[in-house]
Amino acid sequence: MAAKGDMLWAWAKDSGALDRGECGGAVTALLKYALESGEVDGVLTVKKGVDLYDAQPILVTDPEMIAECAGSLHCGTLLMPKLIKKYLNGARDMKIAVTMKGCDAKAFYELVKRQQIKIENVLTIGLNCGGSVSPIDARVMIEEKFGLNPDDIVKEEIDKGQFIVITKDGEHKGIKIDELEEEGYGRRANCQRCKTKIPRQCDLACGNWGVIGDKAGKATFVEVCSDKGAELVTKANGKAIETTKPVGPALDIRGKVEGAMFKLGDKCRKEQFEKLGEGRKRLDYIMDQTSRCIKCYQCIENCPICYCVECSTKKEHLVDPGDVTPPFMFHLIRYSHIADSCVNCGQCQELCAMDIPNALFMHSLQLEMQEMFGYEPGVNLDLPVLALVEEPAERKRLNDTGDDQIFNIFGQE
Amino acid sequence: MELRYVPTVCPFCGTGCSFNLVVKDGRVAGVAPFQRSPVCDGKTCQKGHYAYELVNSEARITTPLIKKGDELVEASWDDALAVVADGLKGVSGGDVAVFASANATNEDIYSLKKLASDVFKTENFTSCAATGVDASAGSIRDIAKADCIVAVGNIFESHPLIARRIANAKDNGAKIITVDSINSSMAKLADEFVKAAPGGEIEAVKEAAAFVEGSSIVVLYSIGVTYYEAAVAAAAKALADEKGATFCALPSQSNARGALDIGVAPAGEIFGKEYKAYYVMGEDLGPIEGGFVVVQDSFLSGTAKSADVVLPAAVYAEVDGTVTNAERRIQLVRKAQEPAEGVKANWQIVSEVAEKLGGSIAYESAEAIFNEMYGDLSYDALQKDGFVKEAKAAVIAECAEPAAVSAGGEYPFALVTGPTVWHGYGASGTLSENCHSLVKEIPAIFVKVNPADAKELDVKSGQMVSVSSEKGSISAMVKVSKDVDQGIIFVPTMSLGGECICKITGGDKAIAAKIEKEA
Repeated sequence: MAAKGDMLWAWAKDSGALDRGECGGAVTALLKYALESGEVDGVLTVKKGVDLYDAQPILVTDPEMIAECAGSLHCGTLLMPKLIKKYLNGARDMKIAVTMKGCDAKAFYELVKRQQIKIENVLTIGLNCGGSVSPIDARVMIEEKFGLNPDDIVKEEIDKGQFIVITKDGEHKGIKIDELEEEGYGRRANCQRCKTKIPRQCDLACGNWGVIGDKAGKATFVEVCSDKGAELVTKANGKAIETTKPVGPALDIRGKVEGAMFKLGDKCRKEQFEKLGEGRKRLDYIMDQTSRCIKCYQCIENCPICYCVECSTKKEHLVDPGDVTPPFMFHLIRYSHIADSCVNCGQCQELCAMDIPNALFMHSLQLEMQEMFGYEPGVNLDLPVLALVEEPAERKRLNDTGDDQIFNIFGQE
Repeated sequence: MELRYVPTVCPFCGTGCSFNLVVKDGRVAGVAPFQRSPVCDGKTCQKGHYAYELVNSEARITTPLIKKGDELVEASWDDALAVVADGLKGVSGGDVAVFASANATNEDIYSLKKLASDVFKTENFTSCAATGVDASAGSIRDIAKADCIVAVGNIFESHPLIARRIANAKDNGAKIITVDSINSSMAKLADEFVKAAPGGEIEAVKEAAAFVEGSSIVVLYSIGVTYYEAAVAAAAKALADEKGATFCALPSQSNARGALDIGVAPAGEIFGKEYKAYYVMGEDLGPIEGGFVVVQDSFLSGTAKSADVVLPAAVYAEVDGTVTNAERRIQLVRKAQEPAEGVKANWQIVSEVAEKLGGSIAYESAEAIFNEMYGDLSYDALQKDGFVKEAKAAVIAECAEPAAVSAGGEYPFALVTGPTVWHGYGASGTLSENCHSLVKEIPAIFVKVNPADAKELDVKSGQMVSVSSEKGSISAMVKVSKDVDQGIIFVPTMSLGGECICKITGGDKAIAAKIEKEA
């Protein structure tokens, strides 16, 4: 019997998953089990696209197909919960198991709060994440810094503070992330600032941190974070996976890895935010950068917090349609609507056609608001500072009353 | 339930960005970033982002159409092909002209060229891409490494993901010099902005030379769709040669580079003449009067409306194929959904028409066509990064120079043209017109008017006016904007809802014009 709060080492019983999966294939085995046993109707996970730099989401309904999605890919940033909202009707009519990194998990919670995903129907398998690298940047880095042909790489991983690649000839090469990032290579800027390394808001949090001794590389560290997660582990144990209690200083080591990641995250935050400047200087910088906007809407379309049916940026009285460059109001609307709940998923920057550091701006605002109001987005089901409203009903109320205050930020009745 | 991603190349401009089509239960349901793209790292402009909307648009034509009296009526493929065969029988050589959209795939354009040469025995095979400008040195990514960039034209709106690289270069300390006729986004990014007088781009490019300095210089020219592209491009090339710079002319269509590589006759030699028969694949040339007109298209374009026979073609998301971008990269267009019932890939239609006319242009697949074109390459070899062809020396055709515009009298404004990021022209216009999110932003051709002029004319933003030159008149929506100086008006190079910039400019880059309030 597994219970919430348990820490386990787990590995697949099935030799296929054991071989192909990462660290004993426990995640692969659990996903396959969930599908086979009918716990879920589909698994939303990630497979290799054109090559290992191309992480591609896929909905799997055939348990035999799960094996194809085994193994980890570090170049993707896919925002899985937004896919559930957009293409799977918010999991309202099917049960889904989904793999999630920290940013996915936080985005998931924010979408759940906004009633865009039915949480009861989603089984979340969290994956530890030390950060991801943009595919083309990874290829350039491997060529320029590692001196290797990116097409010869069969595996890449981030471990013990290093970015490690393995070539088809079995050559291992690792370079310290600090060193890479000082030279402008390495992880995405938002990943550098991220401090959600073990996504404990998921039903299970899985990864390799804290697997030591004989089991190193052969088992997955599973932290059971909810009753739902405990139920899955209990049912699958002995059938799909084998488990054991971590031995030796496993928990200490796990804690140290996470602690080191936090420290690195803090350092990166400090450096990146300092470059933003303060007050007028910061505003000037933001205005200068956003003046390059071509209004491609990628920031809005891909933001996990943007879910409005009627987007204010498309209201003619606020932003003239069709203007390039759009007025600063376009960006102000985004900051004011998103910043309290920004989960630093980085999509608005990752996908910005003009490389505007949108996520940096938004994340800095979010952290300041968190300090002011105490709201931390993405960690649980607590409602944001800007309390939840039903959009059509609220729009009607505003129209009927002439009121212009949607959110009661002072907490008065 | 099925949900999967299919990476493909954007059908709009010549940058060659990619995105994933999200396929749900066999149908394209949306779009998602393809960060593995060697061109755009998953980023796209709004056209790329909303290009999926046209795929299953209600406006798609899915049945062949035959002209009966003044009307186009639905017909079977057999009947439609019989009418094509009848109408084209015995018409060949100089009596027929064949037009390929440069937004079509290499395979489609190649097979159409065969139809022209093998079946129609004509050399009249062209495309809007054949502007006489053929220059494609350098790579898009490396633009960011330049220390000095001369941008001729508003690349922000014509090729946004190339403008991104110019912005990257600026952040890396490069000097940016822009030549444009309005205060465009490209001008606003510049360290030095040389404003071209209407019709005076060539002089402006020469003036820009004084600002050029650096050891890694790039000159970029955004190709438009006027008769003077080669003249301005020649000035840009001369500047590049003088300064030892890399020179790349950015094609406006997704596969203009490919069309040039396949070989298209200079557009100026073919357009504007009368023929006994016209065969048009995916291009909107406006209505064609006189002659027998066959159109292959996915939508009822202006040309299709005037055709004798319209054959419904698959859209980019329904076919395999390749397109070649500005930096000579051949990339895979991948089939994400089966063609709508009743429609066929362009190359298949060509094959069936050829057979009806006693020719043989039969292929098993698009890949078979590609293999014939590029024996040493394969689709498999293109899967990851495509294939970048070797750069050739730039070739710019002889071209008359545009005259300076003399506004005054009946036509007090100097009308200048340039790209809009929301819509295209010709085939590209047909595509954007069927993406509702793009139409929502720009629902009609617009005219930018300086605030002082707007006050004098007593017109406001959003108001419809008539814009006329001595060549013709269009209805356009006013946008009051400081982007244009007093006395200058700007109309984007676009076509929408049957209105086309060409009606007032007739192929000129700039022209004297007037604005009148609509009754």
